[in-house]
Amino acid sequence: MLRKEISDTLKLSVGTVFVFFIVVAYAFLLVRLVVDAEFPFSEFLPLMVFITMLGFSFYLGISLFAEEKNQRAFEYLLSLRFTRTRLLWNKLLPRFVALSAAAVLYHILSLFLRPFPVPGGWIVFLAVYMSLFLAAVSMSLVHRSHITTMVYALALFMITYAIFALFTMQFQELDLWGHAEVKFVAVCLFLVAATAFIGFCLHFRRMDLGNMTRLFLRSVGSAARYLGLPLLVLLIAWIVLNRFDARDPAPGWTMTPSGSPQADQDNGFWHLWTLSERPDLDVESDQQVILKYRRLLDPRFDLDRYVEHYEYWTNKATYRDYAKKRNTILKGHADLLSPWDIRPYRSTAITTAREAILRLRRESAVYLDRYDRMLGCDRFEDLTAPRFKSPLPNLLAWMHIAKLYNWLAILAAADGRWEEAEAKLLAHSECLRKAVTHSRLLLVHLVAKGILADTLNTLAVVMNLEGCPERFFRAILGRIPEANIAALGSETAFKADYLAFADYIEKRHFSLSDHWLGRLLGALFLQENRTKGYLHRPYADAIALEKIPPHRWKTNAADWGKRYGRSRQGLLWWIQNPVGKSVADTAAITNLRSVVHKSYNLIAIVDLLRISAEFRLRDDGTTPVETLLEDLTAYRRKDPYSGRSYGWNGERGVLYSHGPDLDDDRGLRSYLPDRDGDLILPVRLQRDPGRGGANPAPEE
Amino acid sequence: MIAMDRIAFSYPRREIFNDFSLDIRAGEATLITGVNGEGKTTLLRLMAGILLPQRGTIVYDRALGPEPRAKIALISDQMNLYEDMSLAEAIRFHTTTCGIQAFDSPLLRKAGLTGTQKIRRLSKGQKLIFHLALLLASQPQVLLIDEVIHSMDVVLRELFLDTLLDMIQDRRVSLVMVNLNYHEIETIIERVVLIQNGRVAVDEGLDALKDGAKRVDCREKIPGDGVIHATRLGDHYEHIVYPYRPGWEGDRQITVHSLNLHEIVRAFMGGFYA
Repeated sequence: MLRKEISDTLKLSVGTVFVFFIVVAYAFLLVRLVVDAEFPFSEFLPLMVFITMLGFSFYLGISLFAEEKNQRAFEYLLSLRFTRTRLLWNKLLPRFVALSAAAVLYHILSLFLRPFPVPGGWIVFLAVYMSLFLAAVSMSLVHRSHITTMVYALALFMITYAIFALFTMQFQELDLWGHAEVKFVAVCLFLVAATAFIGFCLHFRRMDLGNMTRLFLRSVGSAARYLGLPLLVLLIAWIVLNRFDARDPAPGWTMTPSGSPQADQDNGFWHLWTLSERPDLDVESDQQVILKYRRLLDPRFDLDRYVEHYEYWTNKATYRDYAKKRNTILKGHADLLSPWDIRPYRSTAITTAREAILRLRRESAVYLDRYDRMLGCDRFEDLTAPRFKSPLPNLLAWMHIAKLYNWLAILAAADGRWEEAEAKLLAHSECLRKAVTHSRLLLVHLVAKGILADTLNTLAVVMNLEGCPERFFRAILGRIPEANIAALGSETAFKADYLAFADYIEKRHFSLSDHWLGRLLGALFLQENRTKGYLHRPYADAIALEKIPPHRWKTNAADWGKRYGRSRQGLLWWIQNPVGKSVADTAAITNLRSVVHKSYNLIAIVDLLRISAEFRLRDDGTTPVETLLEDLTAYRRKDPYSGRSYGWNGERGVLYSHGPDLDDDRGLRSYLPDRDGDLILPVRLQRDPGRGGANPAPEE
Repeated sequence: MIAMDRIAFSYPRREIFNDFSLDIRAGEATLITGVNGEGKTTLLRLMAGILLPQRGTIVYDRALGPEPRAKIALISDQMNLYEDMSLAEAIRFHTTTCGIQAFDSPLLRKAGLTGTQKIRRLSKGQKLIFHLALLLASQPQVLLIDEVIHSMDVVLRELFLDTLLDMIQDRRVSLVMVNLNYHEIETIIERVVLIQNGRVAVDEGLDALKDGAKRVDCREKIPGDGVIHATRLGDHYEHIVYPYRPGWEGDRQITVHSLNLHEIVRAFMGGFYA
């Protein structure tokens, strides 16, 4: 009999392979014709193999007694001398072997055909693979009709899908199946299927041929009787375990809105919000505008309600016409349109685009006027309520106007209006320093840092223009103080970002809570504080690490902040807080290391700018540059990326910091913040090349 | 050979046996009979081990060896072999499964069943003969036959019955038959078991049953024990009496007739239906 079963299993396996090739060929053709003509076979094949494996597993189980059912030989089978147990064993053994062989082949295939993702990793795959087989075996005697069986199979698949989708929210991305909670759900499914299978085996011994369905129902009933109570106890224990939440990970991190609505117009932040309002509005007197932003920023209003219903895109649309016009005017000046033009010698590009910039100034008069008022404010206090759905000011408008503002300063300097350039740029940098220090939302904070870096580079450009007066250098030294991490760091933004995540957890903004079952799961298996803790950890680490200059970071800090791994800790991590883990895994988190690098980049640029300014004041044209640098007060500052003095490359004519890669690249600039290369500040020397220093050509 | 002691078995919403006991004796040919739905087929399946009693025990004689089911063979018109197999494949499968060393069946030769033809293509009677040949190869000591004769033509039927007779006479096989056609098996069976309402109503040797069961004709209707059926036919009454003992009629004028098995069973069944 075993030989017959081996033969049947072999036939079935070969048949599956045959069907696989036919289905793959036709399905791929169909996908290419109907869905996407460029759909790559390398992506299609793994998915098909995966589906085939699951289908094979199910079919192998459901066909356990197919021969007997089709040929009505069941009674003959039972009349043979075997015991029921041996009969079942003879049937199952070849199938188990075939299943194992297929799994091994699948593994080998995944090793040789990289990338060949096994969704969910091997634990999830094997659990689902075996669950389908065991469940199918349990159903193998339920109905004699293939159609009915296929309906059962479809129902089983849908239930599996629903459990995965509702419990993990990650069903659409197969590579995310490897997460802990997915494994947990998969193992649970396996246990349920195994329970049904054991029930089936127990009742097969006393099978009633007249009613196969009853066998299945008996199996389930038996499973419920023998295993239901322990499972119920375990479920209750699991729920109780998840009642013991951790303590609030950051009780001291609070950030209540502290607006002073009587002084809206004194706050640069308020002007930032109103910057992109319709040009025909007088934002400082229009009650509609004032009310709109008070509702968002004034704690006396129901902030949660107005934050929730703020129409971000409607507000953004008011700026769209100007943005289109701006791009039309600047057409042909691709250099100026790049997101951040940080080239120090960009004065040539700006003077070339003079006409376009002046025309843009006329078109932007209202916005520039509003921006001037923003820069004129004594304070820049971010009043944004740290909520998950807190809207942002129009950052695009901010970047557009800030860049135009800096271009106009360069043009003023190039035209000899040094005082105007000095006033504009220093006011700009002072305002931006306040914006960096006080901005709450991380995105606003990063844009403020970017604009500040652009403004500091603009100051360097102006210093390198012919005839830049001494008073400009003195003004820089006087009004741009030495930078430190307290002023340019991201602590406030990190805390606000965490608090927004905490709001996300507390108010159940995650999509799981859109469904009643999801809400029930959330109520039973979500630990708020522990989940907040997963997210708190990287921010707390980032704040602590930011206080240490990068050159003192330990080697293993290189990948710090990219992932947060605390959710995998503890003895019971795999059953603790599954919904929280799922929510935390799907919550996007910024690479905080690069945010910290941006803080130190700013500090380095400020230092280099001050060294450059002091150098110009002290340069007598004869003293060697290196000697002169040693005497400068500003040069005593240490490069945060090397712990030593800033570098000078006479051949390139640049002062430089080692930059985030910590390597001395001799002033070879870094185009991207985290990439190889140095942070540089070109210094155009006003001296005869034969008297102690070169005067390098601009790096255009 | 097989002792069923107070067994109970029921299908969903239908009880078949409750507290049912019966012994099948070695070398005896037993007819199990009763009205439709009384559980005759179920009883054979319980004896064969295809069904298991929900209560009570079925004890097999030690003579059947450590694997009693290997020595019990069931053949039924409701039972199919693997019909996609050829005869040769089925023989190979059955002999391998049952541990039969050599297979040589005169029965198949007589029935002309050889070659590579598929079982599916055989007639019902041929399938039964083929199945019987397979079962005989394992030399069973108990043969359970469930309603098969009516499916066979005259030639196959004779072949089948001759084979059964040989088995009883030569190998002392215990035979248990469920059949509703009694003429042809009357020469084979020795014991009749009639089941009524899940219990044994009659359990008698065939000769004793024939001796005890009589048709008594009388001008008047005779009351009293033993009359299992009485019918008025014109100017007289026809009584089926069991057990009939001489003098049972008293001083009445009667005529006593003997009955064949068919008439006896029909009388019992008629009584039940009435």
